[in-house]
Amino acid sequence: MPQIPYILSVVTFLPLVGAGLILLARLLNKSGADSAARWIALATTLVTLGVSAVLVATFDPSSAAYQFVERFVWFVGAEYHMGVDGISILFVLLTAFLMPICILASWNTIKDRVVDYMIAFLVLETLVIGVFTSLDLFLFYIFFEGTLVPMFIIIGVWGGANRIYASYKFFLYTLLGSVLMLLAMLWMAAETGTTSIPALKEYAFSAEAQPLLWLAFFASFAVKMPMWPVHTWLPDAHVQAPTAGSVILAGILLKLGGYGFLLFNLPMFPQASQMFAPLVFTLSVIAIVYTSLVAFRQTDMKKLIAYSSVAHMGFVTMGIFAGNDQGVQGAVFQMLSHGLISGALFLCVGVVYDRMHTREIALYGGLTARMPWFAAIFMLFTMANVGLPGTSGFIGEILTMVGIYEVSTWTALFAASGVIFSAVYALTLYRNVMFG
Amino acid sequence: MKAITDVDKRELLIFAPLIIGTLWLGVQPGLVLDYTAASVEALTTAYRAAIGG
Repeated sequence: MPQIPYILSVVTFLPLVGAGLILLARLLNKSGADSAARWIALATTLVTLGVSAVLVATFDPSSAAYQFVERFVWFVGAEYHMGVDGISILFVLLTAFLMPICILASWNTIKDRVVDYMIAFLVLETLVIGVFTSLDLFLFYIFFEGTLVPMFIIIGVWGGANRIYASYKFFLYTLLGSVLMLLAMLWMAAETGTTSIPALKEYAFSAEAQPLLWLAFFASFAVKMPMWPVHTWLPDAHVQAPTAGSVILAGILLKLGGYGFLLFNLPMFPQASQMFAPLVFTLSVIAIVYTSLVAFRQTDMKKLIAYSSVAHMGFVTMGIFAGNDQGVQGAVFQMLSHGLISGALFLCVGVVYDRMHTREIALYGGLTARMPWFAAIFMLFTMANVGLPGTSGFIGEILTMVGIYEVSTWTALFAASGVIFSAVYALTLYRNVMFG
Repeated sequence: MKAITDVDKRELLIFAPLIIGTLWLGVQPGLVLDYTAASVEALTTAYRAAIGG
């Protein structure tokens, strides 16, 4: 395997280089800029995928240590510190995997301001990969908050009729949560004298400080996940976002919340995590059961899948704070699997929307006869969303439930009933759209 | 009503990697779990030690 020096910096900033090339191409040739932007964006995301494949292939999975570490003093109080472990490296791969799909999905459907659109996606890719590779408190914060800007622009410029409302709601919800996280980070840096995340994981925060710090990080990541009751920005954002925007939002941006729990809440504030675990379990169960019922009543396809995402993220939060191997393994698996499945479901909505120009479920019906291939694909991902054995959706749900069963039988019982509700709304959607 | 056409080649190309990924991980979850095992175990061991002590 070829060794690439500074591979984490390369994989993080390659998309940004591609964005620069697109700008350069526009300066050189204005008339062909749209076509050039599409091809440069596709090539950049494919090269980034290739580099992340090399990253994964050269990673040693038997070690729990951070690998490919890069560390320089950046400015006073912060370091340029990067590294990946067995969890974050898979999220880098997921991001790199979904991005070319997003570019291809936007190939014909985005006709306005193509250059700006492709640049926004490439900048977003750099920022998201940066979240998963950074090991410094403030570097993490910059990438984490930075992702809001391109996503805000993608929804606000290329979104549907009510895009301005949706993009502001998305921005304000997620920003308000993050303000508390920044305060907690400043306090931690002052208290411990370090901004290195691996060092902070070793630091034992006092039992008095832990609950407040835990809540500050929780405020930020719970909105991102999103957990009930701070999930209401998500259906609006999804409905208004262009198809590829929805894919990135559901496939990757929601995972930043779960990743944050695993990076900060659980390892840095274990006592507080144990103390608040019943709260998290309760919110997770409400998310699983209540949003499944809400999903059943939706008349808009995208809204239905958005509520379904909230329910699936309930399994993730439940698994993480179960705090055992099966729970955390299942949570990570569920996030990766949901990245593929929810992305595919939003692409399915995009396919029929491009043909019928409506997402109202009632206006569809009988598509199986006209679109047999599509019927098969949509069926597969509907089943995967329900968690049919043989699809990735099954593994994540079963592992998180095994994990939670050890810790709280009641939570496991309610979560299991949520699996049945998900079958009810997903199969009803399929029947109404494809047969009806 | 205009004829509704089935998925075209570009759309199939988009779905293909997602279909393969979903089924492959469903049948062979070890692909992911082998990578996460060591890091997850370190995380949960430290967590249990911290709340047990």
